[in-house]
Amino acid sequence: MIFLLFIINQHVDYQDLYNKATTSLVKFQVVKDSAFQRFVQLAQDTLIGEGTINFLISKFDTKSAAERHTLKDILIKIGKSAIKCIVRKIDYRGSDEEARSLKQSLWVLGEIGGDEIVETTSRFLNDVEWQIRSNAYTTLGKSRSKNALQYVIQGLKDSIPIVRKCAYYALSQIATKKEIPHLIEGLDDEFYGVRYACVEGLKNIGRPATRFLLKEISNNEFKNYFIVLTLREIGEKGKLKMFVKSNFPPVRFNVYQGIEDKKFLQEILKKEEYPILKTKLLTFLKK
Amino acid sequence: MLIIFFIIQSWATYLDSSLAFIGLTKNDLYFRSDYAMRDPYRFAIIDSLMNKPLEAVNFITSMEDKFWNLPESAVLKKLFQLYDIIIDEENGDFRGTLKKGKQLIKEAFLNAPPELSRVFEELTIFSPEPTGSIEEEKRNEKRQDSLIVYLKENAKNVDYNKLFNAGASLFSLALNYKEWYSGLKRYNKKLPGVEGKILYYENFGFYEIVVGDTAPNIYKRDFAVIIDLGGNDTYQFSSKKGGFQIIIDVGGNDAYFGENYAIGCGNFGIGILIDEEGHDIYYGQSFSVGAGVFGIGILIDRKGNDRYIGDTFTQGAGGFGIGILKDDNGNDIYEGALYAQGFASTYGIGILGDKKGNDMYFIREKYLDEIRYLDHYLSLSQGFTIGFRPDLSGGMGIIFDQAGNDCYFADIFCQGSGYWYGLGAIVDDEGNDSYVAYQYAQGAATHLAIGILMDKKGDDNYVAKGVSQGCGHDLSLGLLFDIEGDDSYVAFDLSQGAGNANGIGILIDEEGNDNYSVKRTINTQGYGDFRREFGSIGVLMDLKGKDFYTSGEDKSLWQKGKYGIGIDWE
Repeated sequence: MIFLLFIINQHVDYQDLYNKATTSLVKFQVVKDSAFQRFVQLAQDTLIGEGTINFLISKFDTKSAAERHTLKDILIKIGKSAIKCIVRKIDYRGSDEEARSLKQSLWVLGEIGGDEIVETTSRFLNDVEWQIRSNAYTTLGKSRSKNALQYVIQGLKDSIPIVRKCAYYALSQIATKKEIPHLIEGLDDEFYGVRYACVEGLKNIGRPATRFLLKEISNNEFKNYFIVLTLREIGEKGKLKMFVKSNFPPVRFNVYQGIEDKKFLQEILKKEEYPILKTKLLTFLKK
Repeated sequence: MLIIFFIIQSWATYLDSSLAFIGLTKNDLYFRSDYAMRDPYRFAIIDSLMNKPLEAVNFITSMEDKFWNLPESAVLKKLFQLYDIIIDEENGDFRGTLKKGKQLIKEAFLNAPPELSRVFEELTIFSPEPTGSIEEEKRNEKRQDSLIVYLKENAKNVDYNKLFNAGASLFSLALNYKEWYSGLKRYNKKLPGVEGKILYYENFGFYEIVVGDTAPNIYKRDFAVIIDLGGNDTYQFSSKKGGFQIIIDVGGNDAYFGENYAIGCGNFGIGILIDEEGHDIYYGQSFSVGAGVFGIGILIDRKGNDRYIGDTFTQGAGGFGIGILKDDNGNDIYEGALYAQGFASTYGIGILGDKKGNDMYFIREKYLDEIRYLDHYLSLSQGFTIGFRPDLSGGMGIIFDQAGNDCYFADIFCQGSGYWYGLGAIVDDEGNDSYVAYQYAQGAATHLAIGILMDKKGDDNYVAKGVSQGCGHDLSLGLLFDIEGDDSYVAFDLSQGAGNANGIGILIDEEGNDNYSVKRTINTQGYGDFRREFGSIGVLMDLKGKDFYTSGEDKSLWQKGKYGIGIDWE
């Protein structure tokens, strides 16, 4: 019986299945879903699983963004058993300068995650293409592995803002208290993606970041905005009141959103002169 | 850094102040131009605008100013400059210019393979029948891919310098036709292929010129030059490829009928049609009514209530060339089905300009949007551009409507919308206008593009379902900018200043008592989602007037997540 099943399974028409799993036509959605599930099933088969995964990897170079999304979704479902197959083929960049295969490999590795992807991914951090570097940093972040820390720091100084953002994102996911100064520094990066990644990273660290944040208060109201936002995210609402006197309306708006004390808000309302903030305070008080 | 908040009469300053409430500045509103490999047909201005997308407002208003205020021949030369081609045409005598034009056109395509035309057509024409099977779908995809590769490799063999030189001279000639025929010795004659009397005929072997008289004529042949002096005439055009055609009709209520590649169509050549007066009908098929395919197609109608009908690639449509439809006066109706009404494909500029009158722009529901819906149709029209993603960039597809109470009806991908490294825009100056569409519309852009709908004056209505009304998806800017009037905005979801997948969506209304209505409040009216580990940006900004919102309130501000802001300044 097992032998019979083996014979039957050997005749899988992968290309036909792939066509069905990647159709864009709405009217064949049921066929698509079924083919998707079939791929996941086949990939988990002990005999032909690896062959199935290798077939999917061979399609990484496709020009179709929709197909790449479907491939990613299938491989996420397959999970960690796909990692070693992807790693084995990762040095193939693709058929042209777009390096789609490599980008796809890094993307999928990141979506699957785990310690085992760190070393392979780190090989691409100095790639000449900024898209590859940024993919690699993102993947390290998604690995959630502390082993990635040593690699991520170097990306914080990349000259390309998006690469820096990816490195800071990675840091935000795995940072410890030791990395707080890096995150603080990124709060007034030129690129908002970096600034917000630092907020997220400090939020993940939590209250140990508070004293560092308070030391950074200065005349730079734009940076103060992110300090206030971070304090709110951490849950340090008590610290927000000191910012009520800021000359910068966005800072004050940030503060008002974090304060629940209605008596305090009433007092602020008497002093607030900025029209749209006055209206907003009235809205908060009505709630 | 201290930012001083003075209320200054500048939308850009207000925008900067609005963005500050989400920790951003105008400098954060940019895209790179190298997310994908650059193809040789991307306009340099598009790269520049991707880096500074808000500059697209200045760019489009500057283009509009030139379109309406410069002499028409100068407008064409300005468009050539977008191709980095500067033309200094030499004006010769009438026949000499025609002869030289023909020669230049021939030389322009000397090294271009003849299959180029068929390849572009196959990539452009859709079937109205839905795809029957997945096998058929995949076969088509594979075929499309090989055609695109062919196009990419071979389109560069066209000498645009020569083509545009021919276009400039012939257009100048057409605009100044009176200088030539006024000195002609005329005679009454009959001619095969023409019903009615003609006043002049000349055959030079490679072209024929005919001048029709003031009574009705029916032209059944494709003469290179037709000048008709009046009367209610009928023109029957067959498909034309190569060479040039100049049609001037001085007066009368005329009917123009054409097959594909006809009626002011430059198909591997130049096609110019100028109708000076009368209530006219232009009944084309595909690649018609002011369409340029590896060529320049210009249709100008100066007066009268006119009707323009076509199917695909029509009414100011350009692909690897320039298509212009300009109507100076009258209450007009524009009807197409796909790639119509200010549309641009790769390396194309398509402009539909309507100066005056209450106009209707209508896209028929013919080509099913079968990858998204079973009951909605692709429009890809009305100030729209698309390339061949990921290989070939889009172009610039624009509608300029200067005055009148206008209606725009379409379905999916339309009304100031862009897709893949291109710019789609509508600039409507005046009038109480209505914009009705379903999705990816009304200042929307998808996948590395810019889409702008700018309405300067009037009490306007905007109705759409989603991904509309100032919505940017996937590293794109979608901007809906209404300057004056009491306006009404209605949408369902992901609209009204919504950014998705790292896009930027902005809705700005400067003045007037406005109403903003949405069904789903979670992703509308100043909303930005989180994708690729950073935020998309959504801004709804109303500067003045007593306004009503589903999500927010007058003289207040609200935030949707970290990256979206709605703000009513006064």
